[in-house]
Amino acid sequence: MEYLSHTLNLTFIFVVLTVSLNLILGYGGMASMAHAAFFCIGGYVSTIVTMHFDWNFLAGVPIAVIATATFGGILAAPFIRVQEEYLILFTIAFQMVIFHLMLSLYNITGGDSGIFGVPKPEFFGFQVETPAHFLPFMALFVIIVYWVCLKVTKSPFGRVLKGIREDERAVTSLGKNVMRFKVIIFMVGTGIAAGAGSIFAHYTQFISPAIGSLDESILIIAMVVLGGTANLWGSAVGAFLLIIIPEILNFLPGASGLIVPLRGFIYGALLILFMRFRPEGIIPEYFRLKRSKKKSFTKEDSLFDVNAEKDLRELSGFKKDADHDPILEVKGISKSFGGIKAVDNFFMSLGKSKITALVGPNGCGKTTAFNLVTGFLKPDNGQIYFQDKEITNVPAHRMPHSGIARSWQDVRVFQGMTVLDNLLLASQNQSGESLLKLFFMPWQVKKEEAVNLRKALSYLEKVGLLEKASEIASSLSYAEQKLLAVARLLTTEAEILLLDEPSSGVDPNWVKQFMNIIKELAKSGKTICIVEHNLEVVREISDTVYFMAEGRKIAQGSAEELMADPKLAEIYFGI
Amino acid sequence: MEAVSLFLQLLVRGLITGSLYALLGVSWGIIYNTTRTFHFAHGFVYTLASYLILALVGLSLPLIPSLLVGLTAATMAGCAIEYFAYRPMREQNASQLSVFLTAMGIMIAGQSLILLIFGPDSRPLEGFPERVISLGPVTFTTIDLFTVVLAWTVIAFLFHFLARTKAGMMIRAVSSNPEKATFIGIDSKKIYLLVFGIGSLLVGIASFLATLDRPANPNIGLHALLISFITVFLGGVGNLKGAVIGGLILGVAESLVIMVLPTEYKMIVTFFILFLVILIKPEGLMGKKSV
Repeated sequence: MEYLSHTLNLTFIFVVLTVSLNLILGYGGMASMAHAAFFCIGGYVSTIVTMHFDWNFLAGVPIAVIATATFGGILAAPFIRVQEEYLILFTIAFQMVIFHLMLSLYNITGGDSGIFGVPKPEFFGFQVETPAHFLPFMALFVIIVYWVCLKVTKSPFGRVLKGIREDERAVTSLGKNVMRFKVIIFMVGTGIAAGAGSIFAHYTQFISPAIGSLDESILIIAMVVLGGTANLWGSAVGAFLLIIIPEILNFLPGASGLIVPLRGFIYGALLILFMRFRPEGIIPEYFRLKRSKKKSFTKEDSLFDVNAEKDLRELSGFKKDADHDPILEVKGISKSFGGIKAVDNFFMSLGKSKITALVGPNGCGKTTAFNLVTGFLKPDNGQIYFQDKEITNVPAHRMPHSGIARSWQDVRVFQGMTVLDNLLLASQNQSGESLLKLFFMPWQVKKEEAVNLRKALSYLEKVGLLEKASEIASSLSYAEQKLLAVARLLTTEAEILLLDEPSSGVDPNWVKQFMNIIKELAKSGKTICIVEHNLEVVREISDTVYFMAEGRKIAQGSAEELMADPKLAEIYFGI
Repeated sequence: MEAVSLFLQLLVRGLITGSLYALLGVSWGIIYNTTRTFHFAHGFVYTLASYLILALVGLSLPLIPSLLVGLTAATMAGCAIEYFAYRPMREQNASQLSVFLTAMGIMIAGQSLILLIFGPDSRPLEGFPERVISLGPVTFTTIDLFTVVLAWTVIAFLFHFLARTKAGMMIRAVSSNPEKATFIGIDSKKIYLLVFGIGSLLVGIASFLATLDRPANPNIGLHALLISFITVFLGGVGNLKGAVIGGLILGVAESLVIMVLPTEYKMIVTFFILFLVILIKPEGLMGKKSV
């Protein structure tokens, strides 16, 4: 009985570890090789705090969680910015440093032999003694962790994370600070691991650096990956399997000395086989026991209450500035790559509620100009003003909130998400993207989601995709995906929309629909700037045309004027 | 005076270790720079080479033939890992993370297998005439001398091969721009196989040299692996000379640190240097900034 209870308790601890690592690895897309180190740090923090100050373990656990999460976040932040390999490198390095430090600082950690006599948990005078006593508390701990993780992953916060895993640049262009989300989820994951560590220390009344080795970290990763990344239930399955297999091996006659290498061989081999033949793990991300019915929406759902929206905007501190015309002014921006001047002393101004087109031969700097205006590139010199405020150095993820949003030539819709989620992700200033509000002001998050849903549906209705709201974006045709990209852009509610070849690659019938939508948008007050190759489209919709060549503006005027100029035709068509 | 001779002794020791680290660095670096595969299983190839040589010497085969068999096996193991594990995954467009996890799986399973077969005990490699050489305040052994000479000869050969031969130039072409290399008719699959072979041969040599100096155990691969990729990232990805410099710096730093800190801080210092470099200059000491 004791043995069984102990094994179960151990499994529960590992379930918590895998679920929390899954937040980082599966949902955050970051391979942390240091999960065991954070687990161990948590154990030590709680041990030292409770033993030194003679405090109850109920104080030790939260202190361990907060301290470790903060520590992890501060350390990891500079490395999350760079490429994936560097995070692997950093976490291995961190894992090794912590492990060796814990071995070396024996005054604090007890070195190799660890610390005995970590106080047993005491709940208001009730001493928890045997492993069986512990079972309900461990189960409760697992339930709480699951509740927290499910809430985080199913929230607007989780939605952004999912977007980040698909396409970081697209998420940035919708006004989300990718770094912030990654660092926060890293902190949440390490915090939970630290919680598990401190509970484990109090449970076994013992802590040593051994539980914080690289081998343990790798074991936890293997559990997560086998179970299924980005599926929280899979993590429990993975943990359970890799705990149970060696326990069963224990009962084999003559196997006692071979347990460690056998276990290693089995999980190493499982890792290889799964990555090759079932990389999504035992329970894949989108696994459902029952096929849930797809929600369908009608036109009525898409009507939204203007007053409700007003409240919402006031809540988020949105202020509409006085009308400026021109609304955007670009003053002499330049950008060089190496020796090549991609954009050279470029001037442009966008008239309010007007459609401005940028045309020019391939490689003339149109897309670079877009990247400069939307903060994806910093100009070498020159300034950009939006409603008379300088925005030259505003980072890309703040542009939509400032009022400028862009689409991408290669669409960049989130293929694995539903049409509706694509739009919901794009709403600005969502309370649900803050974990504090998610847990402490859930009613506000709920109210906002309801409003955002209606708003999103109304935009879908506008572009004619309402019936497809619950479809996965990848099932849409190319033209529909382009419409989706436009609807998603509208959801940001930016004043200025920069559209990069909105109608390229779709057939003429669709092109007409695009033109109508764009004209509608301008009529409703949006300022539009498009890059377009189809001169028919340019002629049909644009009020002003800028002609670019070799990074410079060489002509400006109405479409008719420019097209009548034989010199421009020569440059454009290279005749 | 005593401090000076201690310093000299530690510096020489550091350069000896650094030579081995430089060899480890280029062995992993040539693979990583060319294929961008985070080849975690390199550590397993290292352990495998060492244990094969030990086993053959144990069967009373002379040292040189054992070495040759061990190196051949290491080379083949590296190629096999590329051919059977990484290549199919690349063709499936697997994520970088899944390739890395596969590599880790090979490392764990392989290391466990060696532990299963040979047991956890340390095994010394005997048969090399070991004598102590003293030069003023500095002492080292014939093994140290042999290590330095062989390591630098091999490194010099590698750089000559990369700079002067056709195959070497093809490797450099693939590592600097895989797409363009394909356009001019280079079969990148073959090149990948080639660099895995070269890298594994080099790590086999490093493993042999290390085992001459100290007994092998089934866990030696992990440390070698850590050193090899730390030197590469320290020196700068994409620049093999960086790995050589990185190896030397690491070796000397680890050795000199003993003057101020207890020995167990060696590993911490290693990783601390890596931290600092990545934090201040993410592209590595000699790496080029990517646009």
